[in-house]
Amino acid sequence: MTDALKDLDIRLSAYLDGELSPEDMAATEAMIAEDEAVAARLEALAAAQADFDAAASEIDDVPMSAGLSALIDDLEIGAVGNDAPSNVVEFPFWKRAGAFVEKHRAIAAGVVVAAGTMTLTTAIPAQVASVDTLSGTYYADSGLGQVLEVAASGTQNDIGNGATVTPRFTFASDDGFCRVADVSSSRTDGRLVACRAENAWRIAIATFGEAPSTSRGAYRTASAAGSQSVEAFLDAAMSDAPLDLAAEADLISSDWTKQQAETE
Amino acid sequence: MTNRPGLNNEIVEAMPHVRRFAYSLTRNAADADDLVQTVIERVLDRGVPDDVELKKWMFRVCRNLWIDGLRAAKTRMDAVPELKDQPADTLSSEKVAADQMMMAKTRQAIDELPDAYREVMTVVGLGGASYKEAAAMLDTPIGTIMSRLGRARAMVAERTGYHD
Repeated sequence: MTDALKDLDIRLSAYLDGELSPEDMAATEAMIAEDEAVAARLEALAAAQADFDAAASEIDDVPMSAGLSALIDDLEIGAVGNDAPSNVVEFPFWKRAGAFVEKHRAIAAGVVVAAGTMTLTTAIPAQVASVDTLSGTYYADSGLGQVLEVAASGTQNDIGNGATVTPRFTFASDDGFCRVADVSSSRTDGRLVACRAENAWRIAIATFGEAPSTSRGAYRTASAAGSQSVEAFLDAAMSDAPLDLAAEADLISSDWTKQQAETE
Repeated sequence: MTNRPGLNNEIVEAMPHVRRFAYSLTRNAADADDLVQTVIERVLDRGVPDDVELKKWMFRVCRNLWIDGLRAAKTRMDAVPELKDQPADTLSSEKVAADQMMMAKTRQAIDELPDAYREVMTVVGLGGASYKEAAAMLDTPIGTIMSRLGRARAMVAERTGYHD
């Protein structure tokens, strides 16, 4: 490569970035218009930067590390940072529901609570796409029910068989209190809403999907967990903002007796 | 420096861009994620100036942390780019063979770039910094930024087959 070509590369590169003076921009444009080789070189330099950028985006296909994934999760629920006022648990997913919520409101309203005690195994089918009206009752002696009964939002709780439950937030409903929780196992990921009645946690809606194939810190978005229907349900069921962590802690420490006091 | 409202969401939205930026610098996915995590923690801990674009601020923090890391330990300099050895199913399986060959050439070209060249392509090309911003960030004269960019792009173009 000659020095002259290097100079041309520098000129054309700066032209691509719009960093030349108006006079040099005009002169360079004239060179490009008059000489096909210059135009081809400009194209090559632009392609080189595009290839460079494309190579950087390859990391989009690589699951995030466990540490980074956990940090992003914490950011999303407001467990870190100063975004949320005081210690309110922020749950941005359902706030973003927007038009989707309107579209699915009817479906969400049609979800009913069915009777029957279910084990965690039956509650998390291997593969369920999108909306699942799967519902049932968990009692507090089950792993999930125990977590819902005593665990603070934002904490991940092992319930055995490689499954974890992470309560996301608690809210007041017409009939008492409900909690949103993420359930994860080696086979599935899911999000559910469970409401407490008669000293038991009853699932109002649950969506499950196949777990990410990679185990190393895959970043699971709310939509990937099939949670949009849950969002729609929440929009219909929630009349107020989620409880802050202090109010939630009070409820837990009082064995949810405030629920009874308010609903009597 | 303040923790401005909506910072968490801004960080989450900027994260994929910062991750590409970090990967472009480190050429190693694990190192990139470690770097991004440190960037986010630094931003949360120290806040962000009110009048800056968060993404560019995170790029700046990212680059500075990377340089700090290089100074502290040269291990990253010798790191084998991780993606080269990734099994095919980790990356998109839909890429045609020609694209894969082209991407392999590009990876090699990027790996062979001097750090200073790769850095300027990252900061200006990928990060969107002006030459003036890049000069401030890299503590390098604008003329040097300009010449490094031209030479870096020319090197990539030649090694990926774009040369005449």
